[in-house]
Amino acid sequence: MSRFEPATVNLEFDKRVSDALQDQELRANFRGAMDFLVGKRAAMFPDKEDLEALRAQGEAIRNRCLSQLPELLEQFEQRCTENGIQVHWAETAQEANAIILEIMHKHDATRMVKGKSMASEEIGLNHFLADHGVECLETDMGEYIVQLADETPSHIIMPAIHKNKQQIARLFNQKIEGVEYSEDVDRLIGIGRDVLRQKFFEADVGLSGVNFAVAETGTLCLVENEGNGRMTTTIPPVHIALCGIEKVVESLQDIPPLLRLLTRSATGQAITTYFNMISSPRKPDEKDGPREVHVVLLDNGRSRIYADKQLQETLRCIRCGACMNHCPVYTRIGGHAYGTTYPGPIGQVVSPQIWGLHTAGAITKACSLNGACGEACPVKIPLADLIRRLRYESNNSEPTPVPGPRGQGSLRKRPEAITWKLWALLSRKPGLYKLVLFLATRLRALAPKHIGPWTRYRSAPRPAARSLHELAAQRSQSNASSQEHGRHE
Amino acid sequence: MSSREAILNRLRTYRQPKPSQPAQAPAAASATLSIAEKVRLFTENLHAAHAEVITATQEDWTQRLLSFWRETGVHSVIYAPNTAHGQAIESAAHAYPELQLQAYEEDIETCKDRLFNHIQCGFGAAMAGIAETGTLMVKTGADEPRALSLVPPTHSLLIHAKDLYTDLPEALHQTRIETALPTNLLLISGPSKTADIQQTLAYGAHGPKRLVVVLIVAEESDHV
Ligand code: SF4
Repeated sequence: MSRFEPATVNLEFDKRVSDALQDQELRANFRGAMDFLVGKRAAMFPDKEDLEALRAQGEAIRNRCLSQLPELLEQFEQRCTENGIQVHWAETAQEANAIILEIMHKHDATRMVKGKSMASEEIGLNHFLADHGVECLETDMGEYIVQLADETPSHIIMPAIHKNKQQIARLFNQKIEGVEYSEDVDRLIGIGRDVLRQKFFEADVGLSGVNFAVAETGTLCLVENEGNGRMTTTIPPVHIALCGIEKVVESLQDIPPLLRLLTRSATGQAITTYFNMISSPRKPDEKDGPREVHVVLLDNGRSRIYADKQLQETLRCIRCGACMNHCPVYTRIGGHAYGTTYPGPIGQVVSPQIWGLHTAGAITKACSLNGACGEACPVKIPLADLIRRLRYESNNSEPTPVPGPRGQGSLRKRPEAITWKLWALLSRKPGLYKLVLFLATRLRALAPKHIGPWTRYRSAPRPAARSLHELAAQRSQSNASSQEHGRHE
Repeated sequence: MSSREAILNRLRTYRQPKPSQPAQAPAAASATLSIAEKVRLFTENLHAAHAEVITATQEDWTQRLLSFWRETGVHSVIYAPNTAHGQAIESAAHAYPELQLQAYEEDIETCKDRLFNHIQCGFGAAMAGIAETGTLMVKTGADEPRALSLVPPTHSLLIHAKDLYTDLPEALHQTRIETALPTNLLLISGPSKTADIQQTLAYGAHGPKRLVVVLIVAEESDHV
């Protein structure tokens, strides 16, 4: 798969899934990785009660912050401005890209290093900047590997999880000048480190995501292990942080429980190597750090998600990735099969809402509604309910009172709709129901042998010779007559 | 209408009523451990994160750190000159004459090449430590430049046992840091690492490959 184009999500979804299912190496890579991550998370939460209490706390904190979102955003903006951080607002992906490019232009900047940011993937920043002559280099090891392979991340926490070390060894050998083939992981990381160090050294601008934005203090919090996030936000003279508007929390006190939930759910760590809290650009007496810090507050559909009471639960997400690790479908098809920036259960909920059901609604099909994602989610997002709701909206042609997801009813198929209408009619008319049942059982020899995709891997269902009703009636009759018989004896 | 107003208006129009129950269960008060327990837990967690810990006293920490550098082949160290710990190491440095001690005095723009390509170790101090996770809280600023703990391949960090807290909420609360947040407040828990290649842990991804914590304990009883 090459570049992500939102327009192709629905169109190519089935093909992507079937390609992924046939790729044995890919399936083995995912199976191993997901089992590993599930095990690590479980080890971090040995006590079920503690975990539940912490999840309830996480949910409550996120709900409280979302309920005050407009005020918190204003407060955050004000504090940042007082601290010397410049705040920008972007309603759309396009606008966010334009703001970032303008900052680059203002500094005659042509080299950007990027820390991990799913929001920047969401707005297609790399390709936009490349089109405008800006080199935009991913510096998270996983992201760097994926960028080198001209792919997109397949997991929101571990972007290169779909590749094994042999594949990465080949990639480095082919794509980085003077690098010999080596499967030694330390050696491979060392190569990445050397290449990227030079880039940090030269970069004009560093761009990062934001894990939490603290309204009370105007602080940007970043969670990471590698140090590339710190490099990105410390070494270049300008730092731009791209932050979804839902990331704001009220105060510093909200951070510890959320951080605890995030790191434990994501990678099974009690804490990550670095937790970086940035509250201003370099002060006059300081020797390093960027001289300018910008925050771009990104909406891109989030305020629309906010409008619907049920769908708003989506915005609690702290992007830990636990839902995908626990999803049996994701484990089998991997992240690229979804064709969207955000894969897995949270992707099935976020992507159709950002890009519209007409663009990305089809991925809600990749769910068995087993509920494992919702059970794993540290902030208790009822993912299966939301997926079911979006499936409904994909077929629903009635207008809704609040904005709701775009593309409602766009996946509605006439034959399917007619079938369900008939079913509803039958269920309401007992006489008709009986008649149809009678015909189906008597004419079972005429039942079709092939019914679309269902029969690609299974045999077609065939009506029984007699309906359950008939069998039950028969049995109760014969019981009655045998009892009658007994009494006479 | 600007994007700012458009976004805020939409949020205001569609906001849901506030949750009726108290929104947050009161955070459980953290169990406060004795200094010796904090020292033990802190050290244990740092070791688990692949960091090295030198337990020392106020009297011998400079000598112990210098010997560590000598033994591990560290001979160029950058430090902040206007700090007590910086001055202490400066005056003790004669015990290791081959050591090149460099003061972080210039802006990064001037010393970037040296920092990236020549210096082996950054030496600084932490304002607090968190026992439960083996975390060092570093308040950067004029006296504690940010790159010190990031760019050189080894990072040596000084901390006093009296500045250890049980967990993060306690550390945030007791240090009252929110009233005076620095440009960059850092929580550091071990050397830089990654598991991005086939879930195999590798150290020194971008930051220091080695983290050496010098932990100063005041009394014998605090030793582990
Ligand atoms: S939906 Fe929940 S489990 Fe999934 S990434 Fe978001 S917070 Fe994590």
